[in-house]
Amino acid sequence: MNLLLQDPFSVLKEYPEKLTFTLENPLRTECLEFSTCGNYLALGCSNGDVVIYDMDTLRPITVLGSESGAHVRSVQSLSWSPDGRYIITGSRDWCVKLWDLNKPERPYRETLFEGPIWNCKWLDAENLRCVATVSEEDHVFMIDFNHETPIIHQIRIEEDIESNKGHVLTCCVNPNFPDVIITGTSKGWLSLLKIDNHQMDNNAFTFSSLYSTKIVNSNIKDIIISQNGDRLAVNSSDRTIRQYAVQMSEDLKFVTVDLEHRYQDVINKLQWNCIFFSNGSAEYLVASTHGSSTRELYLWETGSGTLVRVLEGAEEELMDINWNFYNMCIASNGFESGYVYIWSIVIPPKWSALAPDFEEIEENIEYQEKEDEFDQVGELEQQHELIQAEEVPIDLTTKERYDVRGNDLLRQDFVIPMDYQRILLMHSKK
Amino acid sequence: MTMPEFELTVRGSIPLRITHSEDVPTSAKFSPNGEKIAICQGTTIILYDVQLRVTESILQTSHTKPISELCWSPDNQCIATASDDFTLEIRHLTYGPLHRLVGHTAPVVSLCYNGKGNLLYSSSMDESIKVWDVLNGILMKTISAHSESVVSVDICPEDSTVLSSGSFDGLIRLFDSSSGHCLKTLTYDKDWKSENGVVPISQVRFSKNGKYLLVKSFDGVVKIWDCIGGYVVRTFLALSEETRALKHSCGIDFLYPSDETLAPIVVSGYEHGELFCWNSENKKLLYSSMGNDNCHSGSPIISIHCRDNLVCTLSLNGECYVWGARFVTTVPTST
Repeated sequence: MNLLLQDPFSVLKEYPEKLTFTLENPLRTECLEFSTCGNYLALGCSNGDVVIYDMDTLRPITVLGSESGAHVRSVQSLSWSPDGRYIITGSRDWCVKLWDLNKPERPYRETLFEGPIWNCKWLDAENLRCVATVSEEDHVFMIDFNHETPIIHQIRIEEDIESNKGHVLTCCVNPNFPDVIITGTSKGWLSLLKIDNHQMDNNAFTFSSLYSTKIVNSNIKDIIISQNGDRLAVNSSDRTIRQYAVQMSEDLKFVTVDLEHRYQDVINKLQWNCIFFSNGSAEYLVASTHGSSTRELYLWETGSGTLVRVLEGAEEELMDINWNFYNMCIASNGFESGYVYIWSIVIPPKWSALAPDFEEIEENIEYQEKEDEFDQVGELEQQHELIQAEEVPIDLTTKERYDVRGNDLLRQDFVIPMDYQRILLMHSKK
Repeated sequence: MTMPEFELTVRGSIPLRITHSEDVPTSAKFSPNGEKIAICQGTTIILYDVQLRVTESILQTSHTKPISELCWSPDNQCIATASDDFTLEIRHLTYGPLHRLVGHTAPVVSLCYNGKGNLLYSSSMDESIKVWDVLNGILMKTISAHSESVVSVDICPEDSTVLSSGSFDGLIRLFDSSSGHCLKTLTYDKDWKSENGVVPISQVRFSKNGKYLLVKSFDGVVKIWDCIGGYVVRTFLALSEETRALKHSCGIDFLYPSDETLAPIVVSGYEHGELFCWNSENKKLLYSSMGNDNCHSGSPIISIHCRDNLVCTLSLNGECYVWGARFVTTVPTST
């Protein structure tokens, strides 16, 4: 509700503009993601730890696997479940782990692959299913964490493997069709795959290819999809980000993928490290650049393809990017120090809020008396007005469904339990 | 169709003993899960089991002067207390004291946790509001925006983005709970410049959705403000102008009927032990202790807290009652 009481022009800015905090994470950050409502920020670190920061206090509150079972090599990818209760992490130690934040001291479930994990994404968080890409593998894996010993399904499309489309490096899940995943390979193939679950048997799945095309002659490093599923962006090693419009019919019989824009650094010809879309229909795209000469994030408007903003303030090359739409923050980790830089919208204090009969103005204006400014209002009339205000129905219980930025307010982050043992431990050390 | 009739009856009383003047009880609150009531008396906390109706334990805090208010953490595990010795204490019910928060330069009078339980807000007679990091026990921010004692702070657990405060300077302010910036000040010009000077605020309390604020001032008037519009939408007047005026800060709270089609109820206590309940929608008086048994023996009701259909009232003389509220549908008899 605070947003309703603030300057609407500041609140409704569509992207953050100013570097506001730097989290000096002592462990080198490799990847990061905000929880859905932006209450927490999870950092995957190069030593295998996953640290969760509270965004209210900007301090770490918990380390996943503090008792046992933490990753032993760099964490490559992590993702929060939409309800904020679970986190999946993929690491170079060949493991994908599922963490229940009610008991973050040890992994809830885990599974081992035959190579380092590239990335992992939620497929169906309610059933604890996720997808992962693994180094040197020509297909995607689906992990069903619903079982004590997680079941791994290989999402193999025989024809794709026969035509040698290369190793799958990245994948993402279509938010409109949660059974459709999008993959990118080392040979530049972009594919859309469908997962079918047989109704009779919960553990039997079939996989089919919906669409597959070679879009580039180099690695596809990353694929992102907008919240509404209509826009796709592909980051590849040929120093180009390609943006596509995606259309899919309800029955998934027709799939079209049309190139909208390409984004390149014309002068320095730099590679892009990471890309991220803004909310809804993805009106903005933000990217970090490879190479020590640049320290900024670039932000384009996706409709016109024009660069609208350069987010400055970091002191080093930036890697992973995450954008939270509830608190309108962009976080990115530095390549050298592993610190996390956070850009936000700065809403200036309104001094007139302290004295309701004052009004803030930009510059001096000549005073002109308004027509009714000093009219003698009869006491009766005033009384009448007040009485009228008291007859309007009031609703003291119903919450607003959406905030002014269009985020769903019924969605609530899981509250990570306070670690009382840690407080006691801090005291005993003193 | 007949509207169901509202009934408020005493379910039980919590025994408190006052042995000397420093021992006055000041605040009684239900735990968020409704299982217990915590009452602060002097420098101790008394825990009462609502189901079993027995005093479960008495905890001695590290405060050196009486506690003025207490607050449960949202996870039911801790109680934070604000004391006249300028400090706050956060105590875990099984692990014992966790933090002693030092920073205020005058007695601390009111406090509240945010919905997640990771921040604690306290207000003091030093005219400031302080924000504390609960995990690390450190001061995060000081909000100085009043020119008198800040006697009440409240935050809505379901929408913890806005903090409200009420002060003896007669102002009710709304703050952004993360930046600490003042968002709005709720006051009427004419309230402020009334002939008798400023009317100090006694207590502020958010509605369940955080959009409205229940406010009691020392002239004994209870109002509901629309926080976004910034105007009064309901006024509740009890007794006569002279008798409702307060010397002590008497309690108020909302009571939410389990039947959601019924309007929430405003419960308010007064200087001579009177208790009033109104329908928040049509301002109809539903209950008045006048004519009923006056439980609190004419002593000021300094704390009121409601949860589900229960109301806990505490008066300065140490009488503490748990009331049951219910709606009875009566079939009208035809005449």
